[in-house]
Amino acid sequence: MRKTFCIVLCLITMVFVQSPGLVIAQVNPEITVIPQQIDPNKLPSLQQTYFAQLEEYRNQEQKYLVAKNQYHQLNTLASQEVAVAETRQLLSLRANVFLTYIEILDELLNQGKGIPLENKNPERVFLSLLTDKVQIHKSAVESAQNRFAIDQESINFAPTYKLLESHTYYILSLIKLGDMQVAYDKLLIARDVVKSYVQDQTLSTAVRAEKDRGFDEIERNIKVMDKTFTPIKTKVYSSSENKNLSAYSQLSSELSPVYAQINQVIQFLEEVRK
Amino acid sequence: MTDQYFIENQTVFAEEEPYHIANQKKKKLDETLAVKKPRKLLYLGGAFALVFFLLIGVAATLMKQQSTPSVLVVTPTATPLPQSTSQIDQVMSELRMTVDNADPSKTTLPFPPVADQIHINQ
Repeated sequence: MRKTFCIVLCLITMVFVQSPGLVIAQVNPEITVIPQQIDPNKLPSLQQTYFAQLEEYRNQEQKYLVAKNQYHQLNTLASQEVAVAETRQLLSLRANVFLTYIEILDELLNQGKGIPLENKNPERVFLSLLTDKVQIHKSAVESAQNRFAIDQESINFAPTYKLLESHTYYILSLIKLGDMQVAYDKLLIARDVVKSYVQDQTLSTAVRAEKDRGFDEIERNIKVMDKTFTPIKTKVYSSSENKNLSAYSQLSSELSPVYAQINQVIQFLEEVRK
Repeated sequence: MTDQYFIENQTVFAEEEPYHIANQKKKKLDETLAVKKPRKLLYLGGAFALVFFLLIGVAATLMKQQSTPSVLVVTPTATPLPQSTSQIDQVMSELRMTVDNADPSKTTLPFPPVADQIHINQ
């Protein structure tokens, strides 16, 4: 009896002592890195569709303008019917353009390197929400039968349009920064590679000293680049405001010196390796 | 031998007790001692097992904590040192391509040039 009790006690102890480990194992399962699935044909195909849809939209826009003017001039029921139909068609085509464009943005984010995940993932989620909104808008437009319903749906879509516009410029900013980050990272790798290559070479003292001065200059340039690049990144990544075209244009002009500095360092590396 | 035992255990067995009663008591005592000895061993074994499992458990927990970090740690892969000029050329060529792609003056498919307001009524 007591022997059994002791065995049971031991087993219970073992279970209790092991359980924290089990909990940890459950909370932190082994991290498996899944390779990013990128279809190289997806983006070109989407862009092709987008430009075709945009062309279709532009053609329809002409028809819409003509029908609308005729309706306002003639003010007949027949011209009104035509205007309603052309507007409905235009709104539907615009929705198609948006849907493809959102898909392109999502794919650009998916393929984009150098973008922090904490910025990338919320934007991708937001894009899927916008897709739903645009699809709802498209369905509502296609079922609208009179000019009031069409106009009302157009008004209802205005906030979504603004959201889409602002997030587009933010996403384009993230992509631009990501590309620059990748270039910067590759530059540092290339610097190390060239440095080790030069160090392994047999050189005279004078030549080595010259190359060392060259590397010192490269380091100084990289430090200057860091001072310019880091605040730009902090501003874009940490701030959720200024999501508009002007902020995007400003980012482009702010990144220009960084881009010039990267090119300068590349030139120095080319000189030093010779 | 038995007599000697009785002499040495005066406090346990009274002299006036009859022999058969004293013998019975002795047997009972022997039985009790025989039972107590393995029970002691059992308890001792149990305690050792308890400590042993406790130590194994703690060690296993610590090992799991070390092996499964709570955050994703990305270990950068070491860049192989190039051995030849052609490898350096390749590194520099890749760098130039990446930098060209990062040109901030390049526009990545701007927002669709479509009307924001589409109405029938003026």
